[in-house]
Amino acid sequence: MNLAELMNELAGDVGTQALPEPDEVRGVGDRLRRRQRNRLAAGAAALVVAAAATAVAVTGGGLRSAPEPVGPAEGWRVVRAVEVPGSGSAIVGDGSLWVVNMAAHRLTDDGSAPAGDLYQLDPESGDIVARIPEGVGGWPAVGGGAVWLMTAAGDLNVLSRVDLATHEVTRIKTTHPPTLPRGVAVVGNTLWVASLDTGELIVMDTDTLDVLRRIQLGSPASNQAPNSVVTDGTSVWVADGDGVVSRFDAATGRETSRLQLPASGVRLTGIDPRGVLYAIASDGRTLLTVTTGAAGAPDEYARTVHVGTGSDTVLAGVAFTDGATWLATSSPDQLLRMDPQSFEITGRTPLEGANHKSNVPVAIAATDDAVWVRVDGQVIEVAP
Amino acid sequence: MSDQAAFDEFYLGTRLHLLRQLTMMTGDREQAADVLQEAYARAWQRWRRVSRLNDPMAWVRTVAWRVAISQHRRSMVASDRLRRYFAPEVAADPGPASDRVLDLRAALQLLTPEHRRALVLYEMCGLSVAQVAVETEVAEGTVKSRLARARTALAAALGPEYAVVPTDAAPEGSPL
Repeated sequence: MNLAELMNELAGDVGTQALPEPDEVRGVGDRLRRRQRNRLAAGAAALVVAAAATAVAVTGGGLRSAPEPVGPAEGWRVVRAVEVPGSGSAIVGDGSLWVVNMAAHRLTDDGSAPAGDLYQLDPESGDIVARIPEGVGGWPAVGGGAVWLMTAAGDLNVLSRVDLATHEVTRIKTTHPPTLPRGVAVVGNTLWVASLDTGELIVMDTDTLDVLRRIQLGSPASNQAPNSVVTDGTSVWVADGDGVVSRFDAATGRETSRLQLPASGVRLTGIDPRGVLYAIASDGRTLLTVTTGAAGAPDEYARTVHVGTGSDTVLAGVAFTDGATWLATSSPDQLLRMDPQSFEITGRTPLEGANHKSNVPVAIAATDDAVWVRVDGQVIEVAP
Repeated sequence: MSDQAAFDEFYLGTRLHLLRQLTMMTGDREQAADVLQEAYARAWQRWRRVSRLNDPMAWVRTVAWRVAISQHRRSMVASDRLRRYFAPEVAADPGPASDRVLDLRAALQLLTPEHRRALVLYEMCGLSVAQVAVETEVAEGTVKSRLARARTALAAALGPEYAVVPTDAAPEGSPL
């Protein structure tokens, strides 16, 4: 008996008793179809009056520095490099590593869609398990059955939704005329969209994309428009051009805390499992941390950390593993390990490529026990 | 034929094959039935488009696989990142079967999901290496490598004759 016959014999006792009748399947499909129609309608419903573009103020601040790293992150090293074309963002979500090839923000030859791709990788094996054309964008988030990307390609400025199951890409205009959303946070089945160009925080249903609520935070001209958004699953934080971080109860939409940071133009980049919020200042190399408490308690500014002494050092992002915070910087190209309690930098791992090829990090993501750094043409795994 | 009738005919005509294939891929017949139902529902949602594809069955199989992988990776994170995906239910409830089949059940547990998927597509579904590459969105060389590794692992349980790799599935550079 050959292998095919053996496998068929093994599967031979599997019957269709557990499967529903056709009309039941169609019933589920009809509900999905209605949701999709609502989602498309919401694209039009989400059209709002566009506001003038804003300029984020850039000012300095009296900031404290952490000590420079003194040695490599103990036991951590580059263990794998996976070839992924181009450059772009990266995020871990739904058990996969998602890596973008932005294709230099170009459109396809017919001008109808972004030219790049979204790659799905298995973080255990490092295998690329899918390539999703048109799944392009930055400031990614995963949740509500989708990967969400802020897409700026050609004259497109939209929110892209990549369905986790079908890999279908839907592009959603959130303003009229279309302007680029500056990030989303997913809480349950709600999507919180930071709309810098209208000064709004837009709350949408992840399934239907109905707009549930609009929270006007200020006009872009006054620097009070939201430029970034993060969530811990219960609260939602947004930052504005004045360096103000506002916290909202995701269930009620009510603002519960407001904090002025000692720097302007900060962008929120993540929140760790202990509830420490991280923001990058407009100089690109200054990290500010905020200690958040239970809902209702005021947030508190905690610490400022300079990640480089050179004026050309740029922080590519922040990611979290069990017991550590990781920062990727360019110039020098390295991965910094930070103690999440003291905020001291405790080690660094150079990101030199083969033959001293430059490996400029542009994004960082992490599973519980490994860090992935997006560089040109590759994504690099750093692990113990 | 109406869309509804065409879909019903497609569903009733393909569901048993797909359920068996997905049960082998995932090792869990309940999960296979669950994800297959979702995949067919999504096919009906887009039936005008899916029905015009060259191989709608492959579309359903791929969507079902993605849903299964997505479900399992989430549970894997929750269960402290188990080393192996899917603990095959069939191994716990073998039922009447030959020793060879029992050995195969056990051996399949040792394969990674992607290796098992490649093996099922190639052996059970009768796809060529090129077709497996298209469906799994990897290079043909990767498919050959996965098949060779899967067969090597199975041969340890089933006997060396099962390590023989068909010519079109031989890894590049192999003596075959």
